[in-house]
Amino acid sequence: MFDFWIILTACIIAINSSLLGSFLVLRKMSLIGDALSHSVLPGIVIAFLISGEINSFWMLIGASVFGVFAILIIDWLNRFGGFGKDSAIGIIYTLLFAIGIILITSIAKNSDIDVDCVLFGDINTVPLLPKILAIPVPTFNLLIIAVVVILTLLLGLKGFKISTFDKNHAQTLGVSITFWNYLLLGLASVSTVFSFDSVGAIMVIGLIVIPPSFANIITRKLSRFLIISASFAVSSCILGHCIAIYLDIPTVPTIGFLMGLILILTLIFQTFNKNLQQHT
Amino acid sequence: MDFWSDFLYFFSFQDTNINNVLIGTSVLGFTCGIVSVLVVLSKKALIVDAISHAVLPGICIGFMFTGVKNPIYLSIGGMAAGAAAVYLVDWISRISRIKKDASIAISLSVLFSFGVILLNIIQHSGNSNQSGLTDFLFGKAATIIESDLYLFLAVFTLVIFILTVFYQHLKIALFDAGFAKTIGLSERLSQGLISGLVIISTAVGIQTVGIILMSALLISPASAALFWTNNFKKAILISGSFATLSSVLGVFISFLSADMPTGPWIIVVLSGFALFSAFFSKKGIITKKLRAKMDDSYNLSEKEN
Amino acid sequence: MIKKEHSPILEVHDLTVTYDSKPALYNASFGIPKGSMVGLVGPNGAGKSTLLKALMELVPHSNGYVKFFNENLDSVRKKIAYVPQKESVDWDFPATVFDIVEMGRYGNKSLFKRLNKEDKEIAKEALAEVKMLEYADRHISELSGGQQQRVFIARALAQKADIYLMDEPFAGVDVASEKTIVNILVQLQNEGKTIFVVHHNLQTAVEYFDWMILINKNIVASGPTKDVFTPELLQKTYDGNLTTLEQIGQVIQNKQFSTRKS
Repeated sequence: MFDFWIILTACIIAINSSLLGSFLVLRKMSLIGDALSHSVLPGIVIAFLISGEINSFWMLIGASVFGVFAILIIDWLNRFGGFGKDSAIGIIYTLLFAIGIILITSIAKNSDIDVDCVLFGDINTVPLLPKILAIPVPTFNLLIIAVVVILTLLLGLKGFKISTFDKNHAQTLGVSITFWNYLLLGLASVSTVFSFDSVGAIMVIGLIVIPPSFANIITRKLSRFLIISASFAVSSCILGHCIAIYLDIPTVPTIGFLMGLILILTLIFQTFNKNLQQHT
Repeated sequence: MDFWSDFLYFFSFQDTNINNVLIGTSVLGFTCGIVSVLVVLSKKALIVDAISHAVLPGICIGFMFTGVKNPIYLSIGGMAAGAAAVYLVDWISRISRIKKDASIAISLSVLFSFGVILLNIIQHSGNSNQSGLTDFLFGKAATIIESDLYLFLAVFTLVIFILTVFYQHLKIALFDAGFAKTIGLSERLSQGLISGLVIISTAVGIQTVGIILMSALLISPASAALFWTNNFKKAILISGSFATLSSVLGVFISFLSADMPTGPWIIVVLSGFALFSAFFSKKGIITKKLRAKMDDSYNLSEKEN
Repeated sequence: MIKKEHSPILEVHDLTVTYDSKPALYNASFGIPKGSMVGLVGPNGAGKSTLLKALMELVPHSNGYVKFFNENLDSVRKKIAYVPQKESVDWDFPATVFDIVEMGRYGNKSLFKRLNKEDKEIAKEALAEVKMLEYADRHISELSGGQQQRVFIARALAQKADIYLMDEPFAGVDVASEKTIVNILVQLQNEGKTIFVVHHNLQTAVEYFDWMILINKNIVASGPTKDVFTPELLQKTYDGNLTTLEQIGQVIQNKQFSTRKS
């Protein structure tokens, strides 16, 4: 039962991140995941300082606010501030992350928030946390988000599709690009925040980018793209956790490394095959 | 009064420990500030992120081979891993339809995950030397000692040397890559040089600000400097000065209060410079708005006449 | 010379567009009659694409207005189809040819509703019309330039619009595709639709269009091709640009030749 909760939590995070990540990657916004996962830190700390509780609802609200704030300010600096998009992302997420670290080491130093945990999360404590309806709180929250994410993607698939594929055409049909853009970023930021304390910042980036990239080299059909992306993420989580237990190493980085390894091996295999075909 | 006595003590340079930290961070700051201009102008801002995260497994492997925390071995490991990251990003986006941004994020998370696994193995290996390896995550400016300074100075000299020798080469390549090609300058060489400089400065720079915040040290100074000048040479000097000044202020703030971490403060001050420049430099948003308003009122008064 | 049109299907009045406070299009005013095949012709950088984008409100207007069927764009969007230049498309997006044509049906109802059988049937017909049905399951990046353009025209056909706006549909297109596209345009015109095309080849412009608009930052002329396609007006449009003028001379000669013959 212990491992069950860990795997379930990881899988839900994997589904949320890989589905939303699919559209982020297709929109060439992969690095927004990077920006988001680091920028939420001050929100978490400030909400903790105000509410005095860890894992509280307020922490998640605080983090979401900072996630959205970071996206807005990056967008603004890029459009009006004369920064390149890359530079705007690089400056804002490091600034917010630095502020978060300063808050943790100075004002909130007696809390349980610890800087290592920010990066790697603490998925092994999930089964020990208080439960709602016999489900650990983070898992429960993530389940709700998964339902929201999947429903939104199912209902809004056409909107996401058309606003990603051809912006001009979408606009001429009267589709609001801004609406679909912020809907995607809003969902991504909430999902990142809720995943953050279980798997940490780096893993969120991996789950947002690697499964969709894997799908991208396998298929050119959107429906298959999404299914492959999510199943790749889920199977990596299950396999990764088993390997981690077997080798006695931490679960979260093992999943990240495994996903990358499979992707890279697939790429090598593909090029090898291509060369073979060319020679025969 | 307390503040001023601290201020005097700090800036009278009588404490060798503080001086080591101050010189170390300033030298690194200036080095990274210079390289930053190349990074921003060649639009490599985000690959820096992949390189700095990739340094972690390099450092771990360097440590596993030697068993000691000698900064030279660790830096060499870090540089090798940084080069691997650059190659990986390039390879993925070259052989598949995966875009550059995605391949950066992939390399970053894979190599960093690998680093964390290695770190975990080292921590469980019982080697007592290992404590302090995690300092690389968030920097360890406060523990810079005299012997570290030689390494920093060597890197600084190397960067200056490469920059002077290849100055025109880099300038043309950054300004107009197409033109550089037509006059027979190798694009591979200039791109390789820039990546090399980024890797070298990252491998040592993470000692002050740490892996996560390293990209700020290679993005923010030049972003700020380029708001003030269009001249390549001046941009390098201004960028270096911003980074040095931020390092001094960061060290000073963490000296004032024991709870204040050095690396994050350096970054906060540096980002402050960048944002300030974006708003108030002659190319800044607010300056432009004010000027537009003044022009308007000038036109109006002219019309009235 | 701007011919007044009394009940225009598309009316543009004093339209001005600026990019970064540099004007790309000044005070454009014209009207086009229903059922005409209109060619928008002018030198590079004359604001042809800008005008088309401004008609679809893809770029903000600094001044003036645009009316379709005497109404604002928002209330008649469903009756207008736009074929953009190929750059606006994400070529790596995982979408098959059929997916793309299907997107033409997205404007007809809420995005949250599913497409029904009828929509799919319409998309299929459109694809058949451009002779691309056998490529339905291919990815767009696997097609030639001309085939790609045909797919985007099929997407516009699937919109079942009354006005078709096309931005350089013949750019980078092979002869066979150009013929197919021209045939489709003629067929659309026969069905009573209005077609508005950005075009840069003067030689073919005379053949294809019955109404012509000459543009160089502002509207030089707008009217039936036979009235507009004169050496004076063309010279005015092309600012005495030598090579183009030579081309113009040639075209006009050919035209006289062909009129004499007929």
